[in-house]
Amino acid sequence: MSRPDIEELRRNVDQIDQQLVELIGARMQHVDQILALKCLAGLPRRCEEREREILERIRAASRQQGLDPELVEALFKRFFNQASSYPKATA
Amino acid sequence: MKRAPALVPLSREHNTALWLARAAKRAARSGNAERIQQAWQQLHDAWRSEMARHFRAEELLLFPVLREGGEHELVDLLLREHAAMHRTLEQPELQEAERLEALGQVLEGHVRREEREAFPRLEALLDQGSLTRLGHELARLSDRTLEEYTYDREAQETT
Ligand SMILES: [Fe+2]
Ligand SMILES: [Fe+2]
Repeated sequence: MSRPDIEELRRNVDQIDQQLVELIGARMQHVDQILALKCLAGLPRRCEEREREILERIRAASRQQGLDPELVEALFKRFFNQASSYPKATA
Repeated sequence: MKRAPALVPLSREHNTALWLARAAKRAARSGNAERIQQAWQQLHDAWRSEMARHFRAEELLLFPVLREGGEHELVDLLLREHAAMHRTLEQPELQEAERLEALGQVLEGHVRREEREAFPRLEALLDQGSLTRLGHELARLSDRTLEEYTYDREAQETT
């Protein structure tokens, strides 16, 4: 594989990285909104059933993409854990 | 894209709401009791002077148009956010920092959703004549007093 080919592939990877970060940001915004609505309604932050559903869905999607489900699952578990520290106010 | 003139007054109020929402989040995170109390006061004042009427105007004149355009999910979410904010601002005894931050978050997200999704959709759904009529209706509503906008929470929650 010639050097220019690698350069082009790297550009694609960079673009995808950018999109990934933007998508994670958009996901966080939605989650923050849900957590805030739950807080106002006096509901618990996390819902085990919902987390289980999400994990099942992303495991299946990972397998379809030929990805290691555990890798993707670990990422989502980090997302879920972040919800425990919402909101940021400490007082 | 430039905002349709009919929606400009509501967009202007959105700017105020965004400012209040961010101030609320900052105050909540500061942990300073005085700032937290001030931010709550500002939100209660804004609710009485502007927000209650603004919510009502959207519910009466904008959301039905969006529903007709098939935007049921968007309208349901906007209504749920209205109801949550209204309920919170009606409970002056619960003024913790945590709820203040949550209220700031819901308000900020709500305004963004309206500016980025609801208003552009309305501009696409309505022709020039309908937009002008909508502008007149909105102006007529904002001339009335707040008492006429008694908020019907039960109607909200069944929607
Ligand atoms: Fe609204
Ligand atoms: Fe609004």
